[in-house]
Amino acid sequence: MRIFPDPAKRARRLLKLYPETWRERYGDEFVDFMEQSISDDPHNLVRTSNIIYKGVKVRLADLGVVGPIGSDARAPKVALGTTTFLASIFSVFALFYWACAMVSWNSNPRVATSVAVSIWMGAITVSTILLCLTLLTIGLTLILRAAKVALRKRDRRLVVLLALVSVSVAVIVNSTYQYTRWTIARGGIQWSGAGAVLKQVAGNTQWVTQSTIWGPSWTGWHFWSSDGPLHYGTPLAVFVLAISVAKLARRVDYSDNANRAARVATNLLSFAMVTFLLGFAGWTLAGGFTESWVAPFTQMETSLFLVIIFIALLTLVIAFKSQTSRNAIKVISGTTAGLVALLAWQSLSAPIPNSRQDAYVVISPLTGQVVALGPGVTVVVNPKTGQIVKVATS
Amino acid sequence: MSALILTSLAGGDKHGYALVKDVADFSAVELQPGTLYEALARLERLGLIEALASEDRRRPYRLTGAGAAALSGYLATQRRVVKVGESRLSKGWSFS
Repeated sequence: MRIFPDPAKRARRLLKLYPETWRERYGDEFVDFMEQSISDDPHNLVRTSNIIYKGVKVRLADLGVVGPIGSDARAPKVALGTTTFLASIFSVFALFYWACAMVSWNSNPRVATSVAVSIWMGAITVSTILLCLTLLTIGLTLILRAAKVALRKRDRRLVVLLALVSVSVAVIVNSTYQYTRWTIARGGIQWSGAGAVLKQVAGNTQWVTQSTIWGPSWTGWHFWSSDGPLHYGTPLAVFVLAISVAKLARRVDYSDNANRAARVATNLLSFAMVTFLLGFAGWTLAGGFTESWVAPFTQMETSLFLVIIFIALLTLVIAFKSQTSRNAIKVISGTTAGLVALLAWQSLSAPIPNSRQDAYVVISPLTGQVVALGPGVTVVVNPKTGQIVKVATS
Repeated sequence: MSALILTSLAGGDKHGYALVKDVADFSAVELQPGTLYEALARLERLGLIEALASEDRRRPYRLTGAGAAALSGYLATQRRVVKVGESRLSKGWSFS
């Protein structure tokens, strides 16, 4: 039995490490080169490592993440594809953090929310809406355009991508239904005031996005359980949808006008992401957490905030690179966003004075007994039945 | 790396594998495939080399006028460095 296949097969296998556009240009000569190289020196670990490293580098460059994007004609497509993917992932987190802030806004019955926190809350809301609307417009435009091209040219790859988009959208819609049961449609919403409506929308959004982000890691929801496919399927569907729409952005042909629109869309996405981060930083620094009745973020929620900061900065880099000329204002705004994001991180990491983290009661779901009690909390238990009669905070 | 490739192509058009062999012969540097094609793509983008029509699967590369000028400028700098280095070494160092 031969452990190593023949040189031609090995050469073609190594070629697959490079992206499609690179293979179209250099594929034949690279395979020819490798066939000769493997024939002369069959086993060379340095050569294989070099190809793997450079292949990854070219793939990242092909996504617009490192190095030059390539020809000016491809730049808007590459930038739109990658920023759409990043912004889709960002939007799930942004909706979660917006929902947390909205649920906690004006939630303390003892202290009214300050004007500063309310203004920052407005900024977060506007940037979240802008981000979601831009993503929705990009997605719908690309899907309609791709469907038209797929029907006319019978492009099988586009058909596969459109099928993936349809399936992932169906999974996300079903998951949203499973999590919320369309509470709003059943008349559960309190139409008495805009504030109540927003709170209910935020509550549902928080539940859906929280389940999407943390679903698989929650205890008791193993993959093979009845809820497993729901909790593992939703984040997978979000990922597949994001990557499929990004691939559509790269495959669909653009006119000159569409190229300009793609640049505008890329800029809008990065603008919405940066303003969201700025808004959230402002909300935190203005005392959004301390004024609310809701507990501050857990360490995990705070750590994940770093992820979306990284995504936003990466999007800014890609958006800059797709421009033909660099604009000083954009560079300054990017740097400012980074600094403010760091400030927000500092602020989120620091212990928040007067927080109500200590006011907790943990009750065992198995025995119904109190297993942990925060300082300043009094629990009155019926000595005969063992049931909790009263919980009070000093 | 770029100078090695430009120097090799200054001796005539070559495809990838012939280029690697030539560079190894005159400089003892072994160019790895990933590094070679990364450099070829960069030099082509800069207009210092050009790809010729494919001969079967092999595609030869040719040095352009801009590439020859860039190589000439680079070698002139290197010559100055060599001259200064040799003159300074000859004053204070001796090698048996």
